[in-house]
Amino acid sequence: MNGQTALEYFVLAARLVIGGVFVYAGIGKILNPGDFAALVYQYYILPGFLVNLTAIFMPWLELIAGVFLIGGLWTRSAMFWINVLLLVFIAAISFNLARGLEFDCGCFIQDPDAAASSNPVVLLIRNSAMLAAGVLVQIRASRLLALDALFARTPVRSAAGA
Amino acid sequence: MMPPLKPTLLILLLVFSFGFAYNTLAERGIPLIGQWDPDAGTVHAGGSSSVVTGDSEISLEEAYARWESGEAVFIDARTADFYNQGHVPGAISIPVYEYYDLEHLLEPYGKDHPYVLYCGGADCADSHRLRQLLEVEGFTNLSVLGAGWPGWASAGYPQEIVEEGEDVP
Repeated sequence: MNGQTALEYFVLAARLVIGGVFVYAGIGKILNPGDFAALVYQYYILPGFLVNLTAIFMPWLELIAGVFLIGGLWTRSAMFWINVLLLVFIAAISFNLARGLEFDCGCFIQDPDAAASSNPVVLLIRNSAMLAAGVLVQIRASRLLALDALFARTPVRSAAGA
Repeated sequence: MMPPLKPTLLILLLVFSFGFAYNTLAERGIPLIGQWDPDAGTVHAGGSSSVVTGDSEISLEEAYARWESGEAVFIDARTADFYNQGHVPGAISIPVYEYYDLEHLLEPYGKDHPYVLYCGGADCADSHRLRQLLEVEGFTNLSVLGAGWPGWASAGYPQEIVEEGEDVP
């Protein structure tokens, strides 16, 4: 396997893992909007009128962008939104870590045990790792096992070489 | 590096359409704006799955008047630790997740007696959870002090502390 192919596979793996994580996270929040709103509130960052709106729409961005990322359709756009979300999460967690606020990350609300034990530093490392891989996906947007390849105007490199 | 504009905006359009439709149709949907102002009572998202109801809440002044006249029994829904560190004088300690025989516990007063419930303030919904449990048991006159213990204490109203070794009422 040459370096180019290895990179393609890495991008594919990153797409599937990050997409899966966001689909899972999004579904839990969609099923419990009231609980998720309370978690958004206890970050003490957003003004009150934005709390419910965030709780209503953000999980759908996680879910829809995650599904598109897994399917490899509009890969760059889906990855862009997830990278934006990751940046927002990193900023919010850092802000509350810096001011010493104890808070529940609310990342995967269907799993309360994980939430109770979530260490903000671990969350920051996890989100930063996903963001680094996400930026790579956004740049490379490999067409390996991606629906984008079906709609591509130019022949896919590996297919052309076959 | 920058993603193509059209699909990027289309994803947002999908998000708003699905989000709005689901939130409107699903039973667990919440209002677009919730009650997140701590000064206006217990914070909550609203919607049918919320335990908090603004109607049942009373102000600090109202709660104090009911305490002073002795007309209402106060119930502290926080854990025993918090209760011991300071509570409304005469209040009964009923940590919401620990007591289940509520009917028996409040038998001396009865189901139609006025009760005022409180917990840790506007960020705490435990007094509302307890109110819901009591309502199911058939209690009819339940009010919640939205400002909770922090509001009572900072207003300078009387406090009672349980010394170590003392029996919790």
